[in-house]
Amino acid sequence: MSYFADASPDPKSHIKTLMRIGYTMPSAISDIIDNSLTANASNISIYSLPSLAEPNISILDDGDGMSPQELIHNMKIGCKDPSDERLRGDLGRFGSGMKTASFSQARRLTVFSKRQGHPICAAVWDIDQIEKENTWCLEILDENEILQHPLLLLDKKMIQGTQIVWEKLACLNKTSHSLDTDTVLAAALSELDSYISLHFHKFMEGKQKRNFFINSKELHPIDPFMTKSPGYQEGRSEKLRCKGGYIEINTHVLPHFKRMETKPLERLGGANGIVQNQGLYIYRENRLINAGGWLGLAKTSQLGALARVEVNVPSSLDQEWSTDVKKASLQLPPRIKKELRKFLSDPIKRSKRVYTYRGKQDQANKYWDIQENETNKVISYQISPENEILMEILGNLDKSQKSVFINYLGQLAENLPLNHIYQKMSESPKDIVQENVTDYLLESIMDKVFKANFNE
Amino acid sequence: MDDDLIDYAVKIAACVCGKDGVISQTEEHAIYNYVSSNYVGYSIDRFNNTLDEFFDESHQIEIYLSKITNLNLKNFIIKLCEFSAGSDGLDIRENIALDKVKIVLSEGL
Repeated sequence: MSYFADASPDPKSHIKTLMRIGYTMPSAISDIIDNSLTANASNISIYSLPSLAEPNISILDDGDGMSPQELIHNMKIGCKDPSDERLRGDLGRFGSGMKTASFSQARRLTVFSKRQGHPICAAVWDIDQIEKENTWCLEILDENEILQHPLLLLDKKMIQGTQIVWEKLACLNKTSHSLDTDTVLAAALSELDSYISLHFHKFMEGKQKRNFFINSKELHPIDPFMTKSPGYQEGRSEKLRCKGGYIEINTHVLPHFKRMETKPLERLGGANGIVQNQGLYIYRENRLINAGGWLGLAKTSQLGALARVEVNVPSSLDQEWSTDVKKASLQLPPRIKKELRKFLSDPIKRSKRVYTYRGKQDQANKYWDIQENETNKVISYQISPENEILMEILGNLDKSQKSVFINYLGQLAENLPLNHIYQKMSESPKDIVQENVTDYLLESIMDKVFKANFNE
Repeated sequence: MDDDLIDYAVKIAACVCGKDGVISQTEEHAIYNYVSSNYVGYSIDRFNNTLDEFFDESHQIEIYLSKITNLNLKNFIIKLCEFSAGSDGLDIRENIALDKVKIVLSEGL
């Protein structure tokens, strides 16, 4: 006769597995923000003040909040069935995000919450306590303990809201002995600023604008498509009806680097970032999940650097898109791959056209010729023999002088520092300034010639 | 014509076009235009509700096909499916579904 044995996971070991689910600090905080947005928060503030002996991170929102019963239910890991249907705008998935995200970054998680018409409540998960007791022991704070808590920001004046507090931070482990905690924290918050500004940019503007703050500094959206920049091109779009709404596909071509303003370019990671982040931008309920990369549908290339394909997916398709616990990765269903392929060629072609156009402009330069051999695919940059000034100089030289000079020009072209130019153009094109090089050259040559004459 | 039967016709066309869970805008427009040009008064709201219902149900195409007994409607549905599935290029999976519609509905024609 068969029987069932209790093989439930050991809390002490299970918590260690949950701590290593693969979140980064920005992706973990974003998972908490997802809950705030689902709870209709208008203001989401992240606080992590420097110079504390025991640093902590607080995420405070003015959303719907939870009653004491709801809080205890939501503190359970896996409090929601991922196969249950989610309402439109619900950014949750497995009912594990808040806990797993928190455990990946901190050993102590405190949640304060207040729902309208209910008293303020608080519960604490402490990994040290779980390990010590080897049991899922959730600590519930009483009103006095809550009101005297030194990290409580959710004050009595707030009608509703939730505050998540992370203590005993694992995410601020110093990677170098030379760095102090404040330096590590400052770098982490700066990275967090960029991550939230990009991944939640659609929530930072428009009719349903929400306000995001880090240490009281308001965050501003990073538009990965640069839709407001001169030179931006909007491409084809398509809507696919599916369960729970529509999948929307829009194509974009960024302006050429030279037309981009410095600040937006820097916020998108500079010219290097623009090249690396070409590809698909997949949004789940307006929240960016996949920022760039072609997911195997196309190859990353320098010429396709400006191509972007935006895909908006409703959360009702989570099952089909295999969204993971972190909501940081997904798999494209076959039909979507087929539909997307139709769209990829258009922005990539147009991105190439923007580059090719720049190439033709260079070809028109009266000092340089660009020779492109279509048959053997060789491109070379040569000094233009048609240049009038060059012709005039050569006309005034004798035969041996002409030979030396032409040889020199040939060497000049052969030794063009292409690798260096390529590297700098990729990293920081705006730093390259060629306007005053003639004056510099004249000065240097005059100086040398003058010194040589003087010495003679 | 019974409104429910038109809804079944739309759901059969949706099955043929949306074999992988999505229906393109071109296919959607094709279904609506074909149905509304044949049935005066067929509204876009009714069409949208029918498609929402279709995505909420998890019936196989055979369930919808079994509801169709009217000979005229059978002919209409075959033409509707051919028109809508072909509107943005018929692929092999859609073709199998279309073949099934033709085989089942041709019986008794």
